[in-house]
Amino acid sequence: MDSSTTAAPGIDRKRCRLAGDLERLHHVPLFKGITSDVVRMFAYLSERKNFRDGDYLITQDEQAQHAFLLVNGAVHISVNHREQEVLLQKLGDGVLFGELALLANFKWFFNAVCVGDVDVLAISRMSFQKICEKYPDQKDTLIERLIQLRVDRLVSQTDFMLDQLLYRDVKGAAALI
Amino acid sequence: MELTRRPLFYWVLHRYRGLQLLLLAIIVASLFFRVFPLEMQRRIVNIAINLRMLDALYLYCGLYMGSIIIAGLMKYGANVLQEAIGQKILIWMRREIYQHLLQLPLSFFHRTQTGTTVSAMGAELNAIGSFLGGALAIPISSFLTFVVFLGFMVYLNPLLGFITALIYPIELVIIPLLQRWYNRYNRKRVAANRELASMVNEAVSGIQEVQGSASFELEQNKLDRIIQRLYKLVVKLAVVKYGIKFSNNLFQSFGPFLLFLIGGYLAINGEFTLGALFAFLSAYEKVYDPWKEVIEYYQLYQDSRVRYAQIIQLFDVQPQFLLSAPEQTVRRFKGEIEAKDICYSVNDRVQLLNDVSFHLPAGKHMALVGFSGSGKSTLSLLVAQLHHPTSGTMTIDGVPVQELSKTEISSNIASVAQHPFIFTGTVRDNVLYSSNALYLNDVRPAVADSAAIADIIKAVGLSADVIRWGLSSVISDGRAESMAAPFLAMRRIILDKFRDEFSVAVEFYDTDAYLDFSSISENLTFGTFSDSSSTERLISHQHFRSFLKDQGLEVMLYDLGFSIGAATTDFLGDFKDDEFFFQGSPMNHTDFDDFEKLVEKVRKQQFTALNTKNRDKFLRLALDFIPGIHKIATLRDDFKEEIIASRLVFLQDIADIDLSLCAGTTLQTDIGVLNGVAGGDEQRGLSGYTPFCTSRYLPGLSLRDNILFGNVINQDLIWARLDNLVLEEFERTGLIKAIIDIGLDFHVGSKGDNLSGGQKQKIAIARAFLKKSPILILDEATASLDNSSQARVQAYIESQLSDNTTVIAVVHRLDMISGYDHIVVMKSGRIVESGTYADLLTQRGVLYGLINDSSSGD
Repeated sequence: MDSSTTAAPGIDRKRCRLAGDLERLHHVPLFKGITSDVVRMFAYLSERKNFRDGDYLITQDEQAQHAFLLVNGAVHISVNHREQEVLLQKLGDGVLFGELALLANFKWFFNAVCVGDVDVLAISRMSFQKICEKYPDQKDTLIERLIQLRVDRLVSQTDFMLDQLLYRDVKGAAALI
Repeated sequence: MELTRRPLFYWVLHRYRGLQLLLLAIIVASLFFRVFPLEMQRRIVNIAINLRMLDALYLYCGLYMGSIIIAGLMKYGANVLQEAIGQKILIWMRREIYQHLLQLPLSFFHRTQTGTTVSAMGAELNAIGSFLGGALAIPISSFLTFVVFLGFMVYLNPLLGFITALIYPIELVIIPLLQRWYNRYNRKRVAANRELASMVNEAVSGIQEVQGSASFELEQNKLDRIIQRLYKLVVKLAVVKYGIKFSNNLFQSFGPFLLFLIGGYLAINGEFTLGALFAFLSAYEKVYDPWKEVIEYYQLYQDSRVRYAQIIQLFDVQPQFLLSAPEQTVRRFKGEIEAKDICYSVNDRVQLLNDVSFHLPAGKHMALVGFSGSGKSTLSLLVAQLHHPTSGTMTIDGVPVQELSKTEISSNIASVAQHPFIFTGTVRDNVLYSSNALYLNDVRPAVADSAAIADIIKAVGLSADVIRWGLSSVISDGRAESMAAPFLAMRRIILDKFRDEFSVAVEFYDTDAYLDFSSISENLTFGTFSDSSSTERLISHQHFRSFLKDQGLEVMLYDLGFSIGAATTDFLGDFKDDEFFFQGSPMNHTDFDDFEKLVEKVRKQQFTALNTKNRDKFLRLALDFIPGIHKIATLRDDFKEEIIASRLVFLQDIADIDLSLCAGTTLQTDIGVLNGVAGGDEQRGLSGYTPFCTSRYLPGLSLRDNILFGNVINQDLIWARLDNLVLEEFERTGLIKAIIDIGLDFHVGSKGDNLSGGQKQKIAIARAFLKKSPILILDEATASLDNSSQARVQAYIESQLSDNTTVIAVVHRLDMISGYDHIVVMKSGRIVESGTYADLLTQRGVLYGLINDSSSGD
């Protein structure tokens, strides 16, 4: 907002969105130790999206296209089971989820429902594949990290469910949304 | 006559005889005008020049030229006519062959490569077409011409005439000999070409496998082998072809040699006039024309014969069924189906069905369940006459299925395949595909109306999709005129009541807000251009350019454009070959190199060093820049404010828009008013421009975007927000029918590429329901549908089709079968259990086991 507009035209260098997203991605474990060029490309190709309380970020049975980095807000991961929606996990700021969408084309097997206002960075499978094509030496690391992420998530979701089973009345076990 | 038994000349002789006769008549008539100039030649030399008669010279020359022109015109007409006849015959031929092709048994399509069929129907038939037109007229007329010219020569000098005539029989021996060789090679060439087409087709269809196993070398080798063979064949063909040409030329020069020798001798001895020698020479040349034509005809004939024989041979399979009933009327059956001791095997070995018998009364519903590969689908295909039992009988209302014509089968049976085929065209074309076919076969009256289609669409759970397609359509101005009002009312509702709810998904067109998801040119003009990109129009628009200068925007935009250009070329240097990476920049990837050079030039010198054309390239970048999408740069807030300020000036001064009227709450649905503004812009070259006024319909935008009145910034949310609202409102105003009607015209893409698997399946089910046949066959028809759609379809079958439609359903989900009257459980080609659902469960047999297995595994 300074008056020296002669040197810099309409471009805002202080609040550059690309730099902001790059900063966010750098903090994601997936990209730890990955070449800066690669992360910058992910930042460049990712898309900012806003959601409100109750919006479905991911809907079960729909085609998976994006992975999401939760920039702001919280998300509930749930699964439709026997006509009911069962809570599996609660995710907060800075978490990357839906990561499997980067690897394969499938139908979502869970829901992600926004709790309060939510900002995400969406990364498409196409972007992931294109970047991997350009940086083949980083591909293996990225894929390994994605699988590790998936394993961690599975473990924590199983823990969550087992806790529910063990420590609560079995009938009201799963927290129904 | 049976199609595959027809010789090539069958096609020539059986149609368009009148036209062919006309062609012959024209050619014969032109003969006179071709011989006549020769006689004139003789007279010019012998009479006019010899006797020094000027009058006669003029007369003969005039007649000479006149008859040449007439002969030329006749030849011209004959050529055109010949081509036209050839194409007419070709059309007839192609129709018949296509008709034949479509009726061939499925086994034909399994063993024949698509590429082979396609090239036989296309290019190879075309090559025959040029032959067909003149197939009769050319040999006849050539023969006549030959005789007439030869006769003229004999008339001039019998001795010379006979000597000339002697040369031809020698050619008659040599040329056909060469021609036979040519044919042999040509046959091989056609076969090799087909092999090539099949091979490429195969590689392309199996490209995933090829790339997956990186078998490029392998495929390349296959190609090389065929290409090598093709090369050798083509060289041999050339040797023979030009050999024929050579011998022709030799014979052609041999004639004049004899003429000069003998004719000259006779002339010196005074036995032959000079004029006659002239005429004789000309006649000799002319007599060669028909000869050449005959040879060319012969070559073309042989070529076409070879092609034709190969095409016909390819299709030499007989359809297994009658196309139309022997009786005139197409029977409509009640739908009682009985199978007696049905066996079905493939290649006499693999026994797919073994002693299958069942009886299904008309109007009852039967579910076929069992292990995969147990023959359920095969059994259902036997009912539909798509396969034929090896032994045993399948009857409908007591009539063996084999005896039914295809028309009767199709009017009595509707079937849905597991992976249905969707045709390129609209949704409407596809759901009406079967009904239209019955209509064309004169079996049914005209096709169901839109209301009936809408009902079925609803029954299969496709309404929401069709409504979305309808709302996503951009409709013509004419149609918009009658429909605009309710859409503007919807817009009003959203703007007034749901603004906040939608604001997360839509960036509304607010006059005093910067639109992050619109380009800078749209931000400045605050409107759309219906026909082309606004930037292209604006950049060459005089008023707009001076407006930019007056506002002090031009230099700023040049700078912005340069910054974007420089950032893009710096950032995407390694990615310039892939368009995908250019999604975050307004630059087109094909312009990258150009911009790279320009950026470098500016960095070395300065921006003013560029000429106007190059400066405008940067201006274009800036005007196309969409801050919300193009991440390559971020706009400063004060710059946005300047744009907004200039926007108001543009709207008032350049576009002549009354802002209070534009943003007014009173709807200006009258299209006349709409055009009033656009009309005012005409002289300024802003035709097609519509400002983002809440009171106006925006012609270039889809119905949905007209309702939303803004840029959609979150596609995932928009339909969920809109669906209920729209349905409620439009149901109330009765507009839903019109929207469904528009949605039905949605183009499904090539073979349904634009559809999801579930949508394809639903369209196929709707297609079968709309046919309203007494028998319905469902082969795992709902397998790819979500649970609620599956249940919906099942509910329709149970409520609407009970007692009036016999249903045979191959079902994989056992929780769906309780509504069926009769359950048949199959295992390895045999029926192991059958009865009602309740009975089978109490028996605790195979079905009971299946159900318990599947539920515990769930």
